[in-house]
Amino acid sequence: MYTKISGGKKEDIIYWKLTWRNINRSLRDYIIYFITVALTAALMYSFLALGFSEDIISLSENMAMLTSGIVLMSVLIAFIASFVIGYAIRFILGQRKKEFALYELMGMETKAVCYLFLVEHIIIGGFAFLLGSLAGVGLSSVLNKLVKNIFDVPHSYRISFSLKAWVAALMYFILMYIFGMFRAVKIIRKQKVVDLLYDNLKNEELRIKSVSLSIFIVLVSIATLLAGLVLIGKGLHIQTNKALLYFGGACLLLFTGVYGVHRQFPFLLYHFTKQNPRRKYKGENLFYLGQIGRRIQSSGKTMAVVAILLTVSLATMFVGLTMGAGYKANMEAYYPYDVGVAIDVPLTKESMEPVLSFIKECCAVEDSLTYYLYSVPDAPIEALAISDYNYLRQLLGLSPVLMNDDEFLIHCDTWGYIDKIQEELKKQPEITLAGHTLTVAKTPIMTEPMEQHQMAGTGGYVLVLPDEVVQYLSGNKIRLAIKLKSGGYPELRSEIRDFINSNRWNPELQAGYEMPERRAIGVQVKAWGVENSLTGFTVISFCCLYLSIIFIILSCAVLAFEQLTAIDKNRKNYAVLDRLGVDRQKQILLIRRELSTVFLIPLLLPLLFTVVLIVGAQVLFSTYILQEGLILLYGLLTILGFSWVYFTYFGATLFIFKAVILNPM
Amino acid sequence: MLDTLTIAENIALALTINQAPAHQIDSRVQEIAEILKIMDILEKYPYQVSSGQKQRCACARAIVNRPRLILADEPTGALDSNSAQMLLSTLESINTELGSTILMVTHDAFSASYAKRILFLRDGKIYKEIYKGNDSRRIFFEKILDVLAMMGGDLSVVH
Repeated sequence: MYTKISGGKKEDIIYWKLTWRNINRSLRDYIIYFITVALTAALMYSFLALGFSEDIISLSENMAMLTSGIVLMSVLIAFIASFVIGYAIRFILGQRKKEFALYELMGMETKAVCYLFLVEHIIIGGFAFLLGSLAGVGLSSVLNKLVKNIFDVPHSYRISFSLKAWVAALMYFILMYIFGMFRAVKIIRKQKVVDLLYDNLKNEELRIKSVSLSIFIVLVSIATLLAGLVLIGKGLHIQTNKALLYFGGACLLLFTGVYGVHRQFPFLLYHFTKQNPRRKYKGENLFYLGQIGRRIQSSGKTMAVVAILLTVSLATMFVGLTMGAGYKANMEAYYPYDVGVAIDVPLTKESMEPVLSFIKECCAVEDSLTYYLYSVPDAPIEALAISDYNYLRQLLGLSPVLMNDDEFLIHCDTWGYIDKIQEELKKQPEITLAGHTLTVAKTPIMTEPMEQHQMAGTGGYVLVLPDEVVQYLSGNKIRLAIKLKSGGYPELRSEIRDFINSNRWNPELQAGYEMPERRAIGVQVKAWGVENSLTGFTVISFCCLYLSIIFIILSCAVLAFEQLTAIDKNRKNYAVLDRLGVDRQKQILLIRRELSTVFLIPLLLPLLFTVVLIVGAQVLFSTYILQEGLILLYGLLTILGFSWVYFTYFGATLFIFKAVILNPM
Repeated sequence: MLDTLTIAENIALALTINQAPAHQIDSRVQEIAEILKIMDILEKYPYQVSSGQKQRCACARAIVNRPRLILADEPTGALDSNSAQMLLSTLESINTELGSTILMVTHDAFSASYAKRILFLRDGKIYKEIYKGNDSRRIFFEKILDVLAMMGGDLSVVH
């Protein structure tokens, strides 16, 4: 005899009771899901709150980029997270199909079962979202403080709630849930009771793969990976938009390679270990191989996709943090002068007087220098007169350089060129210019930051010549360097640009020179540059951190679900082991070994790729970043941050896994 | 049986756990498989064989270590008569050739007739004890049936 459960107020109360009891009973299944949803909510709210914060946006004129970046990242995160939520819901559904079938057998309508499942998820999701938002409020204050520290803005720690960010996060969440729930409801509605009842008794199909085909795929995938790395290398040497094409192609090749290797390599490793009787029959290896073999068969695709996600996360975190920090470290070197005006036209020095006067109207000027960059015949280098060079050094607070009238030196603040210049100087220690033979000075290369892409040279280095020699060369490019009393303000840059491009300024060409076809004009203002660099640092670092942390959390959640999906079958398997006389301590070791393998397999290439990326960045870019060891430091921080999240999930999964498996059936 | 391992591996597992030398494992699995006539299913997975075959495989796993004592709880319960006879002969030869003691619980008089000593249980207490001695199995079987008739049909036997 049974009571039909459908419709009516009384039944609604029964549903609520049933739902609440189900949630309590299925806490084990829900815990990882709950943590993941809550963490995603916390991060999503806190970053959106940062992006929408008026305080933060008003820090610089380009700071609105942070809002756009975080909103865009949130769309991507919501899209990927919706798959993971769908996956998690299907995992929970898999655990409870039998229970739902029993409800249907007892007379509950399919619609009612769907409703029950939906309500359960709304309660869990809603609770996780609220808890996540609460944690997010605290986290957003920390992020706020971090950004204000970067800009050296005084800030006291204060909790504030952003309704706009909360509503945006809620909207993303609702969309994620609709997508995730859709499939689960479809499964309950379409599947027959008998299928729901016996679904977890089905055996995982073991497909026998061709070893030679697997080896071939691994080799092709490795070649694809190498091709991807080569493309990245090539893209780095291209200055045009074509580089983006190279990077896009490289990403595609790398992802394909990572997928291919992770799909086949574990199978080959498993196959060859099984071929070796000594390894296979050592201790409990046979049992372990059986467990891992089943995981490779049933979760191979998921693990390969997780490997791609982890590659993206690690690379994004490292590149974002390093680029941002690099920007900040190089800031002083990129903008050494309070104001710098660079015009690649052979103007008279008098032409720059009105520009200087205009700047004096805006700010108090302490000192200034108008000078030329001279063309050196038949050589890809420009020259500076020693007197101008020393004046520039004085403006920058550097001591002057003493050099004889028959000597020359090179100033190069771009470390990457120094070795090559030294080699060239060894080969050619003497040069002849305008009938003067000059030898290299006692200190042949000076390296202090002087901004050598506009002001003190344009190619990253400059030749410093005696004044006597320089007068025979053509001063094709004019420069104005200014030291301000108060340091200036960011808007000064656009004001100077407007003045130069207006009719108020009528420059004159030097006698005998013609107006060149290309007239490049550059204006640098330190105050603007510093603000811009800090904005760049903040936007790049925070967007990348946001994306990578959530991707790591989602990847870990998928791995945890993968392992917990088969927890009942695993309990049965370990019970067999127990009956065969394997003691509890050995069982714990086996559980740890099995779980470590499942968590470490998808890490193989992402970790290797990150190490290659760190080493490659160190070799290629360390010379361009003025803070020594910055790349290695942020590489280490990336790996530590990643490990912290990854191993927390590993620990939580191990705890649940151990608790369930070692409990008597 | 573990669904993650083939029948051969399931049998080998019992040996590896008892730290049998690796080079002996394959031959010992083959040897036991031949005795139990499960050679043709060694490379299959447990879910690919019948429950009778599974029972024989479980038996193979239990005896592959040549244990001093085998606890057999209704070993022929899920087997057809042919397989049951084969299994009982195997247990008998393990007893005689390897010297292992076999403690079997059964409700089947035919299975019990393979034993040397039988304890009949009724309501949790020993009802009667009989020995095979020098009797043939057919005579011993008839003795069992006599005891059963006295008990009222049902029996539990401890050997």
